[in-house]
Amino acid sequence: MIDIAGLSFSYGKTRVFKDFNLSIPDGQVCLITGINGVGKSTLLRLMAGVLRPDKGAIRFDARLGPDPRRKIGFISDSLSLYESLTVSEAIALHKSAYGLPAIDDALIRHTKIGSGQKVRELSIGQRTILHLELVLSLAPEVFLIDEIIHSIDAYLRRIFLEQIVQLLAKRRLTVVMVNVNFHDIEHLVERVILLKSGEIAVDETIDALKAKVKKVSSRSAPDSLYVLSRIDYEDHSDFFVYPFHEGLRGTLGGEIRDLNLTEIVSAFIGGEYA
Amino acid sequence: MLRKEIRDALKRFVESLVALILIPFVYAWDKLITKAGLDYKSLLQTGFVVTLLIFSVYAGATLFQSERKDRAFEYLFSLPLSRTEIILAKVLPRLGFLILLAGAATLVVGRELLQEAGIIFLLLFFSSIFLSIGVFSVILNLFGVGLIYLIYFQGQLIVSSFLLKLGLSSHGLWVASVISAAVLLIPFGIAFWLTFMKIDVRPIKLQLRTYYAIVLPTLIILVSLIVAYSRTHPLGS
Repeated sequence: MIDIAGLSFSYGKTRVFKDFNLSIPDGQVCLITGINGVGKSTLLRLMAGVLRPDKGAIRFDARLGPDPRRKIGFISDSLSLYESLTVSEAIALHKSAYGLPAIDDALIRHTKIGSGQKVRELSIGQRTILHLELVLSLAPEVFLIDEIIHSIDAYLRRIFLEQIVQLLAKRRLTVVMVNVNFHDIEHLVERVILLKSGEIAVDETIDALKAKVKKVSSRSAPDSLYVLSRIDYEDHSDFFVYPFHEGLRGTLGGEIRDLNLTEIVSAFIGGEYA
Repeated sequence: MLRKEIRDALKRFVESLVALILIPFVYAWDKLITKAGLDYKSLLQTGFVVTLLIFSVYAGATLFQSERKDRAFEYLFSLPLSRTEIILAKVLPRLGFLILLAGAATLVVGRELLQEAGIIFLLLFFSSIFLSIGVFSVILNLFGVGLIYLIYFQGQLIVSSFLLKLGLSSHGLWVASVISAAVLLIPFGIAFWLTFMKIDVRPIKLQLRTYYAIVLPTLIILVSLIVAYSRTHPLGS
C-alpha cells in the first residue's frame, strides 16, 4: 500500500500539489498520466524519497521496513547515476549501499554493456538497462518507472517490459508508471490516474475507463453528450465522449467505437480534459 | 559509498601534492641556475604548508563535486542512506587524508608546524565544507574561505587581547584560536547541517533560504563587531 495523505509540494513559488491524497493498494499496476507539467514525475520522485514533501506524508506498507527505499525500485527520466564511474564500479557502489550479497548482471551481459565502460559513455537505452538491473537486484516491492522507456529503442524496450512482466508474474509488485504513450504497456495497467494542475482529474480502473470513453463518429453531437475533444472531417466529426453509458447507444446516430488507452488519454489531453 | 568517497578523497589528495612534487625541481633549479642558496628543509617546510593549505580547502570545496558533475544527487538520495551516513562517508576519508598529510608534515618539519597551524588547517577544511553546499564554484569557495580566515584572524587578535586583560596569557593564543574558530564554524556548521538534512533534488537555489538566513547575518555581525572593535581599539593601543 502506498498512502499519500495531505501532500503539499512546491518548487519555490510554483505550487505543484496542495493537500493531495492518493492510495495505491499492494500489487496494483497504476498509470499516472496527464499533460506536461502537471506533476507526474514530481509525484514519482516524492514517492521515491528524492523529493521531500513540504507538508503531508507518503507512507508505505510496513513490510517495506523502516527505510522503504530499500524496497523501492525507481527508474527516473534523468537516469541519475555517478557518470564518472565504470559500470562495474556503479554496480559495486549499489551493492554496498544496499548491502546486497551479489548483483546478477545477466541483463548487462545480454545487452553487451561492457563492465569497464564509463556510465557517461552508455546510450540512454544502455543506461536504462543498467538501472533496471540495479533495481531488479533489490527484489523491489514497489517499482516506480518514469517515462524513460519511450526514449529507448524497440529491442531494449521489449527486454525492459519482459522483465517487468516476469516480475509481476512472480509476486505482488506494486507498480506506478508515469507515461503518455501506452501501446506496449496497456495490457499491464490496472488503474489510470489523470492529473490536472496537481489534482486527480480522473481515477478509474482501465476497464471502467474503456467502458466510459468512446468515440462517436457523426455529423453532429447530441446536446446530451459530454465531449472531451473532437476532430472535424469534411463529412463528419469524431467526438470523444466521457462519461459514456450503454443507455446512449440507441439514442445516438453514427458509429460508436471503443478506444485503446493511448486514444483515451489522447482524447483527454486533446481537450485538456474539457 | 565509503569506498567511492575514499577514492574521491585520494584523487583530491594526489592533485594537492603538486606543491610537494615540485620541491625537488625547484631545489635543482636553484642549485643549477638561480643559485640563490635555497635550503632544502625550508623548501620542504613551505611545500608541506602549501600542500596542507591546498588540500584543506580543495578537499572541503569538492565535497559534492562528483554529485554536481555527474548529476547524481537523485541517485544519492534514492539510496537507503541517512543524511548522517552520507556526510560521514564524505567527510571522514577527506579528514583522514588531511590528518595523514599533517602527520607526514610533522615528521618532516617538526611538531611546531601543527601546534601553530593545526587549527588553521581544520578551520579551512571545515569552512570550505560548510560553504560547499551554498557555493557551487570551487574558486568562489576559495574566496569565501579567505574571507572566513580574515575574520578568524581578526577575531583571534581580539579574543587574545581580552584574555591578556584577564591575565590568561599562558595558552592565550591557542585558546583565542579555538574560540575564534568555534565562533565562526558553529553557525556555519549549523547552517550546513540544517540545509543538508532537508535537501532534495529540487534546484539547490530554492533550498538555501535557511542557509543564507544563518550565514549572512553571522558574517554581517562578526564583521561589524571586528570593525567596531578596531575603531575603538586601534592597532598597537
